[in-house]
Parts: sequence; C-alpha cells; structure tokens
Amino acid sequence: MNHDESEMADAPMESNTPRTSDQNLETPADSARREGRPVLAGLMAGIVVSVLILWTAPSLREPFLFSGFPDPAAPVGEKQIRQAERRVEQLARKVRSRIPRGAYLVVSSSDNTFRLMQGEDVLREGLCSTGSYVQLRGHEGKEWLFETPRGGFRILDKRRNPVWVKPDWAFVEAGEPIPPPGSSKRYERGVLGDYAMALGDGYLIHGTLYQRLLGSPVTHGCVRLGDADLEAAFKALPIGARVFIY
Amino acid sequence: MPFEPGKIFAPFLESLRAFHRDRRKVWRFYAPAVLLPLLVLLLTVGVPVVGWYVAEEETPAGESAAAVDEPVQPGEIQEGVGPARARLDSLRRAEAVLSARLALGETRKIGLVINLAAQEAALEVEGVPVRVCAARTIRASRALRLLLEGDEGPAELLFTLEAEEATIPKQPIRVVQAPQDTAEANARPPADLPVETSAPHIRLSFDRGLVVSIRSSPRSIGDWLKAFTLETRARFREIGGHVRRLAVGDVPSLQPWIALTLAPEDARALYRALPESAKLVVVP
Repeated sequence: MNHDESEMADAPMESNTPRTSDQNLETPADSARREGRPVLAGLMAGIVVSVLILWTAPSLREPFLFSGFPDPAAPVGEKQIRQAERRVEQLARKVRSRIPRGAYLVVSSSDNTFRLMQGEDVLREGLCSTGSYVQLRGHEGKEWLFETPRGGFRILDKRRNPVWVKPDWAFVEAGEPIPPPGSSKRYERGVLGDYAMALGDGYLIHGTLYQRLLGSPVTHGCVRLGDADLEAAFKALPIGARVFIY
Repeated sequence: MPFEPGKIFAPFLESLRAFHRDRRKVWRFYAPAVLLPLLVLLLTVGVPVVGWYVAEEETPAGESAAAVDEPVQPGEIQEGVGPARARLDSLRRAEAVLSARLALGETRKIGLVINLAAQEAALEVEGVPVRVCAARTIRASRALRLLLEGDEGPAELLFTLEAEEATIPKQPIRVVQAPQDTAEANARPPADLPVETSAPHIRLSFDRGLVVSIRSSPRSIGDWLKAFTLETRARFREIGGHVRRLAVGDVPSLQPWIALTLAPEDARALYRALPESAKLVVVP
C-alpha cells in the first residue's frame, strides 16, 4: 500500500449527507423543548404509576402488617368457660328480646317498600310511597321539606274513614290563600283512604287515591299504602305497635 | 403476507436501543418516572406501616381479660389447653359482639352492623334488624383484624361515624317554588318522578381511624369516574395528613379499613338511612 492509499484508509469517512437548513437554524427554545421531551415523558409515566400506587395503597400495605408472635396462652379452667357461656346466653337473650313479639311494620323510604312483620316472619310485604324530598319555597320565606322521618316509632292512634286536616303547605302548593286554623276549608274527606294510623308530629300511615304511584317517593312525609295492604296493617297493628322507618 | 413480528417491532426496539444509548435522555426520563412513584409509595405505604409498628410499641398493655373471670383453681386446669383456650376466646368474642349490639340498640338511632364472617351489612333500629344486605365482597385490612382481636381480648367493637362522603346526595332534594295562584298551579305539568340509576360509592369515616368504603359495581363511565375521583381525593387527604404529622415530629397512623361491595339499591339505602354520628358494630 503506498502512502496515499494508507492516508485514505486512515482518514475518516465523511458523511455525504448535507446538514439541513432546519438544524442549522434551531433556536435555543427549540433546543430546550427537544431536551425537555424526555423529562415530560418521564413525568407523565411517573404520574400514571403514582396514581396506580395511590389507588392500590391500602392493599399494598397489607403484606407488611404483623402483630408479632402471640404470647403463650394462659391456662383455662372449666369454671371460666361456664361463666363465659352464662354471660353470652344472658346477652343473647337480651338481644333477642329487642325484636317485638307482636306485629310491627318496617318501611324503606329508599326503596318505597314495606314489610309487615311478626318476630322474624314476614306477614305481608309490598309497595308504599314515602316523602318526595321536595323543598317547597313559599313567598314569605317559609319552606317545607317533604321527607319521611327515619327511626323507631309507635302507633299512637288509629282512625277509620279519616279526615285530612290540611296544613298550610297544602294551600301554598295549590296557589291558594291560607285559611285560618278553624276554617272548614281545612278539612277534606276521602283522600286518606279507609284507615289512618298516627305516628306523631303529624305523620300518618294512610291510604291514597293515587294507587298507581305506589313505589315512588311522592308524599309530603306520610307513608301511603295500597288499600288491601292498609287494611291488613290496620288490623294487625294495635296501638303501641312498633314502626321502623329507614 | 406472512406475519413477521420481528419486522413489526424492530423499528420500535431500535429506537428504544438508540434512546438508551443517550445517557442524558435516560436520566431525564427515568428520574421523574421513578422518583415520583417512589415518593408516593413512601408516603402512602412506607410511612403508615412504620407508624403502625411505632403505635404498637407505644400501646400500653391493658387489663388482662382473664382478670374478669375467677382465677383458675389448682386441679381445675383442663386437659387439652388448646381447644379450651379457643372455646374461651370464641365466647369472649361473642360476648363483645352481643354487648356492642346491645349498646347500639340503646342509642335509639339507626345503626350499622357489618359482619365480616357472614359477609353481611345490616341496618338496625333499636336492636331490630330492618335491612340485611348480603355483600358481594367484603375485605378488611389486617390492621382492623388485629385492632379488633386485641392483645388482651376482644377490643371495643362499637365505632362512631365522624364523616361521610359519597357520589350521590345524602338527600335527593328538589327545590320547587310555590305557584303565585291556582291558575299557575293548574297550568304546571306534573313533576317527573325521580329515578336514580347510578351506582353509589360511599366512604364513611369512623373514630379510631376506621374507614368503611361501600362500593357498588359501576353502571356507567360516569359512575366509575366519580368513584375514582372520590377515592383519589381521599388518598391525597391521607397523604396530606401524613405529611402534617411528620412535620410536627409525629408518626402517622395507619387507617384500618373495610371495603364492601353491595348492590346499588342496598348501598343507597344504607347511606341515606345513617344519621349523624351513627354507630357501627363490626362483627369479626
């Protein structure tokens, strides 16, 4: 190999690709943006993984929780066991005694259903209507929220062919002027069905003209039952019977 | 044309190789991609777990449950201590559960009973179960199981509700303006009956750090998004709490939790029935 050929062999190969005008003209901003892309991509990947960790954190902790080794058990005597059995039996009896022995009513204001119960047996179940959760705003700053109260109640009174004593909201809702307390306009017959049972504070279990709306939350707070269900409940529940509404 | 996976993925693999040859790019990508999740892992897993062990060490030993019963007399010790001990432990747990349920009934308010073994959640009013819901799944953290079993016998099984949040309103109130007169009242069309079809996701926070998450299978992407937002916000609040405690030199505590999946109607009924400061009994 002569000298020229060895120089050519050692000389690096020059790229024949000319530099583009864009690369020649890249601004510092463009350069910074290009440099920042991996950081942004890494941040986004980090955020996705972090959200996954956040979501699964409670489960991720579980394998690391131990309470140490249990102490050796203390000796156990027959008397201790018998005493514990007696206490459990007494408590179980007390818990069982909480369930009423006579008939009682359970109303679900969430599903608008009822169950007439005796002990743990279901005597009858079906649809009812409870409070609509409408908040009626009157013109003089008065407001009424039509909800059925929840909790434990007792039947305080029972009536056949009840007469509805209309409260103020009934007139406000109809756009009518509110009559004075003793006015005959306050009394309406035939709208509460054949029976009514009072729970206190003006709340009743009664019938309805709108049987097709049973199962929907449409009342002003009272519990409405269908005719046959109302009759069955009226006959089964004495004064003092428990009513549970949730 | 034959399927040649090598040809399809080759450009992608080549670009990955090229990327990894540039050390600066590699650092710039992996630093935030790894450090951020590590920080989140530390705050949501590491710190609470450490706090759990620190709290365990600091908890003073309570009175021995054996002191409640008469001491064992000589000659009275049963053969086969294992089964006898298991029987006594089981009776003590039953006693704790029944006592808690009696206490719940005495509050005269609607309360919640979650039975982990029977996989049920029930509403009780004055000691009477009014709605028993079968849970599709129930999971409880080990921290809760250890809390309930206690070192010296069953711990207090009654909890008090302190805060609640959900993807549905607590009361589905609709505001209606009263009509001016009967003409306007008669002209109004009948109101549409509300129909709730969403799958609620509920988070109940009780005392002693217990969190109960009531879930139902999402029925739409909207349900899923709301549930995701609620849980993510809760996690961020938890992290914020850990950071605040660390800042004052305190050790963050681990939240025991229960997660149950119910039918949407059951979840809705349970959530709306629970009053303020409702009581919960957890049956192990």
